[in-house]
Amino acid sequence: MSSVLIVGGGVAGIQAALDLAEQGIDVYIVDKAPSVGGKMAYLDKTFPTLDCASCILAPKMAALLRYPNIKLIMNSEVQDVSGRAGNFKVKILKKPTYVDWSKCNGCGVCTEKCPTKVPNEYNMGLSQRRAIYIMFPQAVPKRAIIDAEHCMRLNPPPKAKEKAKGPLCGVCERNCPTKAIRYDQQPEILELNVSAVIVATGMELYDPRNLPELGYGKYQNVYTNLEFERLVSATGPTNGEIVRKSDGKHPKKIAWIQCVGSRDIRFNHYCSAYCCMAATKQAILAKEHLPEVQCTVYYMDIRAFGKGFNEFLERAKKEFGINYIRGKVVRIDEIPETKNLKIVYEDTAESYMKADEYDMVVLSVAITPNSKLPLPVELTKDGFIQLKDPYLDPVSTTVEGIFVVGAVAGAKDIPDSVTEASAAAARAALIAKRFSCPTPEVVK
Amino acid sequence: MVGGTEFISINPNVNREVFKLGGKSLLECYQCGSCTAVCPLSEELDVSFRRAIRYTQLGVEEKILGDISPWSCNLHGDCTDSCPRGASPSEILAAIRRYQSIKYDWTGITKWWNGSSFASKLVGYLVIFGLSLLLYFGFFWQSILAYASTGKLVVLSELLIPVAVVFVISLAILASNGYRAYKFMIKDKKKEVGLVKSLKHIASFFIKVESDAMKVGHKRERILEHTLILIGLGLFILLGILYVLVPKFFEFKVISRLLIYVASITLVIGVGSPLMKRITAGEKTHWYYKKFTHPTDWMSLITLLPPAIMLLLVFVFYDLSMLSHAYIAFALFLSFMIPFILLEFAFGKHTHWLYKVIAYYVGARTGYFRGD
Repeated sequence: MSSVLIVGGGVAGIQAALDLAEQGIDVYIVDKAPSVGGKMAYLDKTFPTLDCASCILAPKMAALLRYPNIKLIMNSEVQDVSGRAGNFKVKILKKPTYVDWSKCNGCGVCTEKCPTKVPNEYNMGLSQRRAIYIMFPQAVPKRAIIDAEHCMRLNPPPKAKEKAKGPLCGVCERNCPTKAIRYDQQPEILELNVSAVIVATGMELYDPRNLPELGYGKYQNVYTNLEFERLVSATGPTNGEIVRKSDGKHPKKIAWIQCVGSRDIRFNHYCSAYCCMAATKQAILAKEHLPEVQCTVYYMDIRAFGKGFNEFLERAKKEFGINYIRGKVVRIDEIPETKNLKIVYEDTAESYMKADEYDMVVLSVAITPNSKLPLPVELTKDGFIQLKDPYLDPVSTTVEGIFVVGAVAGAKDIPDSVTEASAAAARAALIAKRFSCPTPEVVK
Repeated sequence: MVGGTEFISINPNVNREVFKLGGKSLLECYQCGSCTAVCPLSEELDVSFRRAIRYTQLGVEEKILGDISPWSCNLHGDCTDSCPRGASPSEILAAIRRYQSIKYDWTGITKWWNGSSFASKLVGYLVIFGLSLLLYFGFFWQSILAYASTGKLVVLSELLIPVAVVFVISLAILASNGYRAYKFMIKDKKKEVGLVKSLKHIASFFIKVESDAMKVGHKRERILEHTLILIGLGLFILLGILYVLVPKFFEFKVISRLLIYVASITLVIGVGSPLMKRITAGEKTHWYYKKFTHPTDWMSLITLLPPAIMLLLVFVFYDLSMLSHAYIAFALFLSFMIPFILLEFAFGKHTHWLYKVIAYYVGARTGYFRGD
């Protein structure tokens, strides 16, 4: 039976996997994270309908487990792809999780007992997790993983190591009810033969520290939009309470700054496509959480191009009273006493420089493609994966049999990524069914 | 405004003309307003460089001609450093200024001087210079020899008449052009602020903005160069007036000599330094000296350097008792002054002092200053 490799288990990868598995094709999903879900798993709500993101995503994630022909290879990276359409040889590095996932049942006892606390990446560092953790409550597969860098046992602090006679800590091992902890787990190399590859590695957020004038990282109350998303989320660091990092109080005025790192020749010249609507959505969420809050979006152009987007924008303005001011913010200054933020811009409707004060500022940062992959595909000069024909073959790369979907092919939102995923699944299925190659037995 | 409707005429050629005048990145602009917001002037003034660029893109001629924003620009260059389109707003503003001065000038000479190629300017300059040479080394030659034989330099002579005539004509044209500029700028605006208060605003504004700019290396360099030119030219004019009105002043050898040397040396350094940087521009040179290389930028420096050098030589020769050399240098100095006054001073980049003064005056009187 032929098979397809999907690199990246975000919403696009999941959709492609489900479409292929339904047709009886074997699917491997490789993801560097310990759970599928990708960036959508971080979101609280989606635009333009304000649906709860995990209510849409979680059923799809769970559905992956219902197909015996879908294999999830988590915490892994593709190392090499060679061959051609119908017979690709893929080398995958499976990094150790230090937990036997065939025994782990995701009970979470270890994550409560572990003594080491580190910043939680899933909450953008706004809360803490333990050194052994489950990525998030809805994780699929829901399995624990040890962060070797911070684990007392695997990477003990030098001083403690000298004092101790035997191995340190071992709390998780003692408490695990299924005896699944394996401190001696080693990295593995898996080799697969697949007919087609779908690249769905998605994007990363652009680091706003590259724009020092906006003071991200220096001023406490300047957030990225993904941090704010976690802040409003019920599963977030504050259980959905919008509070300032500096004093824990509710903000009275929040500003969204658009095009941070996008549409700027010095950083990324492309439009990141999602941020206008994401900022509108977040402003509405802020208004729903704190009805008294004043929300203002500073934009250069509002690009509400998708179905229902413009109506969503009108609703934000009329129903929720969100202000939109046209002008690029060039500088943020912190007022040291109050930790409030003064943002400097030209109000292009009035044509002079203005400076407004806010309690909290959210930066709508650009996205950058996750395209540094050991794949024989070509990239555009922005780093996105080059499409074979952006008009009539928009999911094919320049290599036959390797398809690309989602934000790694160009900045886009969830519906577009999912549409592409289904398209690529259909194209990959054609190849998988045309060619048949032997599939070796693989580790689960 | 008639019945709530404002009729604005559009001249579609404006953006083409400004493009030709050096505003190469004019059409890059997508109206984000970064240039206005980062400008150190914006803290004090209600100006919008974005709006000036927008008017130019659209060709709203009457709004462009009345806009004081381009003239308030002091070329600090922060806008160019932070333009998200990689455009150069300060360069566009300089081009808009050239366009504005073409329209302010009723004689049409500015149109040629600002709009023509470098070669054509040079030819025009050399023709006028050649005529001046003919005048001094032909028509006035005998009287120069006669003065040289007297053994004295300080003479209120007919040699000055051509320069004085050219100077008076230029001033008259400048005054009329200045008045036209004032009319354009004051249109549709109301004088709200008193004269004394306006002047105070302008003074404190310049002190604050320029002293802030002095803290930044590349700005300091340019400010110093500009200040040297200002001091040099100011002394130049002062000495000229003294020469005509109080010739006795030049009998106080120490003071007069000191002033003359200071004037000519500051001028030579102030003009020579940016000129050299433009000529030898390499990788490390600040972009200012590479971008601002419109022919008018070159000519404003090139036309000023020779008279400054000649004036220096006059007194060097005189103090070395080489009187005939001193007189030749003096005749050359005057021959260089005629094309400088006639072209650069009256119609070239140097006219910006007048338009700037008018723009700041109009701005201050009509409430563009924030400092209340």
